Amino acid sequence: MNVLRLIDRVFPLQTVFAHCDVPCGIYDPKPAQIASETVIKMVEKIQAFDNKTATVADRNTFVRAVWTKEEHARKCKEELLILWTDFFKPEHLTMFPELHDTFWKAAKLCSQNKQTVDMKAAQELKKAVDEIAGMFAKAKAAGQK
Amino acid sequence: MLPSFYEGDCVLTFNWVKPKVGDVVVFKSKNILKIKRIYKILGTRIMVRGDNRKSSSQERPITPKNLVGKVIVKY
Repeated sequence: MNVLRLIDRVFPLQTVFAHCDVPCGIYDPKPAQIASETVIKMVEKIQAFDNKTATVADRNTFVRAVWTKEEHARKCKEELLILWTDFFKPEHLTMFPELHDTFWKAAKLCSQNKQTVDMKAAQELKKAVDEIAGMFAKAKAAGQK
Repeated sequence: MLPSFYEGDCVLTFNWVKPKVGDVVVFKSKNILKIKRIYKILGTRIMVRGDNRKSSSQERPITPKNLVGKVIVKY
C-alpha cells in the first residue's frame, strides 16, 4: 500500500462522497403537515379580507397572509421532496405502489396553492400530506421490526 | 458506505472492467463524485445504493457514461 501512497503524491487524490448531503437520518412529516395547515389558515384570512373597509393595518395583514401562504406552500413542497427522495427507498414501493403518484400529486398541489387562493386545493393538499404522513408511519414501523 | 468504507479511506478504481451487481463503484452525480454499491443492472441503467441503508440517500439510476470506475482496492 506504500506504493499507492507514493503514487498519490504524484497524482493528487480526488474526494468522493457517499451522500449528496449530510445523512442525518432525521425524517418527519410533521413540518409538511404544519405547513399545509398554515396554507389553509392563510386562504381563510385572504378570503375574509374586505377590500372596501380595510385599513392600512388590514392591508398589511393581507399582504403578510399572501406571503405566508406562498412561503408555507414552498416549505411544504421542500419537506415532501426530502421525504420522497431521501426517506422512501425503492423497497417501499412494494408496500405503497402508489407512492410516486401520491408524492407527485402532493407536490403539484403545493404549486397550485402558491398560484391560487383556493380552499378546495388547500384542503386537498392537507389530505395528501396526511396520507403521506400515514405512509411514513407505516414505513417507519415496518423498518423497526 | 459504512461499514465497508469510512471517511478518509482511499480507494483505487479501474474502468476497463464491466461493472456487475455487488461491485462498489465511483460515479459522477451532479458534478460531484460519489461511491456506492451496484444492486441491480437494467440494460444501461445501473442502480446503486449505499451499504449503510439507514442513512444512505436514494440515488437515481446511473448510466455507464457517468461511471468513473470499479473500486478494486481500499488502502
